[in-house]
Amino acid sequence: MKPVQFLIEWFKHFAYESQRLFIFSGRMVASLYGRPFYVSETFEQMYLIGVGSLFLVVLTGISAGQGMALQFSNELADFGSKNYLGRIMAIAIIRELGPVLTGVMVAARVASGITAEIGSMKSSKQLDAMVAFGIDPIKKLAAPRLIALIVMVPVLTIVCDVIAIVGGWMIAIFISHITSLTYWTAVIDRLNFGNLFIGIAKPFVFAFVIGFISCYKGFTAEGGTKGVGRATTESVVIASITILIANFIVTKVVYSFLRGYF
Amino acid sequence: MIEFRNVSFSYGDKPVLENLSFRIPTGEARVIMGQSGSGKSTILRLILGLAKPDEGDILIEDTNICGVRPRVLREIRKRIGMVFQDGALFDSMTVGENIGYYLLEHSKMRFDEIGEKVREMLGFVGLSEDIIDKLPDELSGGMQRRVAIGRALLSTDPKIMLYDEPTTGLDPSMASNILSLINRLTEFKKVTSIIVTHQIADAFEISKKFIVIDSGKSIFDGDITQLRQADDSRIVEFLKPFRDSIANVQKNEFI
Ligand SMILES: Nc1ncnc2c1ncn2[C@@H]1O[C@H](COP(=O)(O)OP(=O)(O)O)[C@@H](O)[C@H]1O
Ligand SMILES: [Mg+2]
Repeated sequence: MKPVQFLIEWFKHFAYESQRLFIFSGRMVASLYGRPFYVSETFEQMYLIGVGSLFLVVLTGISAGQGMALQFSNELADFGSKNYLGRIMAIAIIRELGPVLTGVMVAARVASGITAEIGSMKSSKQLDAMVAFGIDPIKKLAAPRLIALIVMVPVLTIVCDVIAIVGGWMIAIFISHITSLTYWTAVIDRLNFGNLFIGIAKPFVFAFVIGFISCYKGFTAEGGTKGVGRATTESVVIASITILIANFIVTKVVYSFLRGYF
Repeated sequence: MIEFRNVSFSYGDKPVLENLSFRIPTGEARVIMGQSGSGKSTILRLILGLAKPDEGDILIEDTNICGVRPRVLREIRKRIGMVFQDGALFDSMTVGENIGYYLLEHSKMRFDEIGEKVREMLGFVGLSEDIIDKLPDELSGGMQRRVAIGRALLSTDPKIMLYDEPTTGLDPSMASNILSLINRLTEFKKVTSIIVTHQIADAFEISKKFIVIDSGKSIFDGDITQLRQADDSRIVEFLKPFRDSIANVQKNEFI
C-alpha cells in the first residue's frame, strides 16, 4: 500500500503546486500591464541575462554543431549524399537543438539566479519591506525578468543556431571536404517559413516557462537559507523538464497547424 | 489609533494569534513583549496588511483594514513606518538608496534633492554622511538598524511607527542609543508607536505601558505598577529573570 499512498500524495502535491503556479503566472502576466514600468530594471536584466549567458550559449552551439556535422558527414558519405549535410544541419539545429540547448542552458544559469535572488530577498523580509513601501514586488522584480527573458531567449537561440551551423560548415570544408557553396546552398534551402517559425516559437515559449517557474519558486521559497537552496535546485530541474515537455508540445502543435510550410 | 478586536490568525492550521484585543490611542507608545515565537512579528504584519486575520477586526485611525481595497490599504501603509526585525534592508542597494527608497520610487523629486533629504536623515539617526555609498553588508548591526529607522522615517512622515525588535543582537550601549532615538521620535514627532521586544529592560526605557503576549494570547495589558502586581503565573514566570531591572525602575520613579 505504501507506494500507492506515496503516489497519491505526490500527485496531490503536484496538482496543488501546478494550480498555484498557474495563478502566479497569471499575476505575472497581469503585472506587465499598467504603470509603473520599471524600464531601467528591465534593461539591466536584459543585459545580465543576454550578455551573461552569451559565452555559455556560444560554447554549446559550437560544440553541438561540430559534433553533429562530424557524425552525420561520415554517415552521409556512406550513401554518397554528403551534399545534404547542410540540410540536415539546418533542420536539426533550427527546429530542435538550438532552442532546446539554449533553453536548458538559460534555465541552468538564469533560473537559478532569479530564484536564489528573489528567494533570499523573501527570506530576509525584503519583499515585505517593498510592499510596506507601496511597491508591488511582482511588478518590480518578476515583470522585468520576464520581459528580459522574452527578448533574450530568442536572441540567444538565434546566436546558438548561427554558431552551430557555422561550426558545421567548418567541419564540412576542413574535414568532410564539401564545398562552401554546396553546404550553404543546402542550409538556405531549408530556411523556409515553417522551420524558422518553429525555431522562434520555441524559445518564446521557453522564455515564459523559465520566467514563470523561476519567479514562482523564488516568491514561494520558505525555510531560510536551506529553503532558498532547495527552491533554487527545484527551479532549475522543473524548468528544464518543462522545457523538454514544452518542446514536444510546440513541435506537435506547430506541425498540425503549419503542415504545408515545411 | 491602532485597535485589535478579537483578532485570530493562523499559518495554515497552526494557530498563531487567538482572540487578541488591544487599543493604542493616537500619539502613545506601547511595548509588546513576549517570548520568541509568541506572535509579536505577526501582529505587526497584520497592522501593515501583509497578512489578513482569519477573524476579528483591525482598526487604524478610523479605518477597518480588514476587507478594504488594495488601493486603500496602500494609502494606509503610507502613514506607517516599519522597522523590520534585522532591518530587512535592500542588500543590493547602497545606504543612500535604501534611506531614499520611498522618495526614489514615489516622488518626482530630483536626484540631488533626494540626496539632500537622505543626508539630513542620516544626521537625524546619528550616522555619518560618509556611509551613504556603502552597502548594508559593510555596516555594523547597530548602524544597519539606524539605516532601517531612517528608511522608515523618510517615507511620508509616518503617523505610526512599528519597531520589530530594534535592539536585539546589539551591544548594550548601541541598544540604548537606538532606544533614545525611538524615544526622541515618539515625543518629537507625536507618532503612535509599537515597539516589539523580548528584552524587558529595553521595554521600561521606552514606554510606561505594556502588552505581554504568550502563545498568541494577550496575558497582560497595563502599566508597570500593574505589571509588578500581576499574579498570573505566566507573567511571574516571564518576569522572573528581570526582577532587578523592574525594581530599579520603581526606585527611579520614587526619586
Ligand atoms: N511564514 C510563516 N509560515 C508558517 N509559520 C510561521 C511563519 N512566520 C511565522 N510563523 C510561526 O508563527 C509563530 C509566531 O511567529 P512570530 O510572529 O514571528 O513570532 P515572534 O515575532 O514573537 O518571535 C511562530 O511559531 C512561527 O514559527
Ligand atoms: Mg519576531
